Amino acid sequence: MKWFVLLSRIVVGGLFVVAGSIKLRSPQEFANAIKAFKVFPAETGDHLIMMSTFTMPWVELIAGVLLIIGWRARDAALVISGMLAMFILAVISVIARKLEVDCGCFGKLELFCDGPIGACGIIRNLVMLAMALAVLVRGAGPWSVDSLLGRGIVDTRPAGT
Amino acid sequence: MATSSGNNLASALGGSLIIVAISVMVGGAYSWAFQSGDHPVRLRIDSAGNQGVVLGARGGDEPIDNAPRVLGYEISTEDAYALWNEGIVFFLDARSLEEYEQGHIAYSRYLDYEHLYDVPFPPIVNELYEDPSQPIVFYCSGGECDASHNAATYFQGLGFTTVHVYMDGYPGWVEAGYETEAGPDPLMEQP
Repeated sequence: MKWFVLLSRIVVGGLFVVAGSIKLRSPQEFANAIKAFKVFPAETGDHLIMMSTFTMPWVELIAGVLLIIGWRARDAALVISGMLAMFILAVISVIARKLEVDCGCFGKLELFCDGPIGACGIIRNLVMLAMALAVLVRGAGPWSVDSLLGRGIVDTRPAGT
Repeated sequence: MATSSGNNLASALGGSLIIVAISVMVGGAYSWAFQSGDHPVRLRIDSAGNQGVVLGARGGDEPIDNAPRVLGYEISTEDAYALWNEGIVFFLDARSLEEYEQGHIAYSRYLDYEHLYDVPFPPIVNELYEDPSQPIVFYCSGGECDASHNAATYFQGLGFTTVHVYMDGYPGWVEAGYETEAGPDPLMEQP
């Protein structure tokens, strides 16, 4: 299990760092992608889109780096799990409204899923969510700053065993 | 055990809020830096509809129609030539620099499509941003080339209100026998 946690940290953290970097490099493209999702109300939508465009990539980048190096890994895993849950809901909403939009998750890169957003996007996010939850439950695992500080693995055994 | 798990979760929740708060502060500072400086570039999220050029109404040398009409998003060689002939429309070449320098529609500018999404934007974007109602025609190699469509959509997102895609692109222009030229973009900044 501890090696799965390590793998999860590197894969999910790495993907979030890549996604955040791409969005920071192309903020206009990301703003267009958010707008295409049509999830914000018309009255305040533009402000929320602008705020999301500039903050979400930094959340992805910082949480991703923390997850990779395993420093405050459970905190970072919780942030990433929350974002992934939000992304999954957004994708379901897009599919339910029959909108044909591109994900914008990784800019021009189409990692694992190509074309307009669909079920593949949900599956990809669910896999990442499962991996992030593994870190949240089990802790950072080996090769992490947390393990150097003595909080690498969370003891989930029942008391007295 | 339940208390321990609760403490762990509460600790993670507190830590995660700190991560989000720090990210928001960094994002705010980044936003400020992004939108200030010598060449401020502001995101455009109010995607205006395409107004279209009224063809034939400006009295070009060779109007192709007697009655003025509004051009759509995608235009033919015939319409592209009519716009080019009016002389008030920007033609932007979305192909590679090498292809542009080998030959391009006369008086058209090099778009630098490869760096279009970079920050800061390529100089030509800031240059055109002076007048977002400026009519622009994008072209590339015709056929399956999608750079002109991508660039046009991107410019619409930036707030440009009159953009067109010349569907047949440079090969269609050459085939029609219209004026071309070769060499570098005369107004492009040299490295």
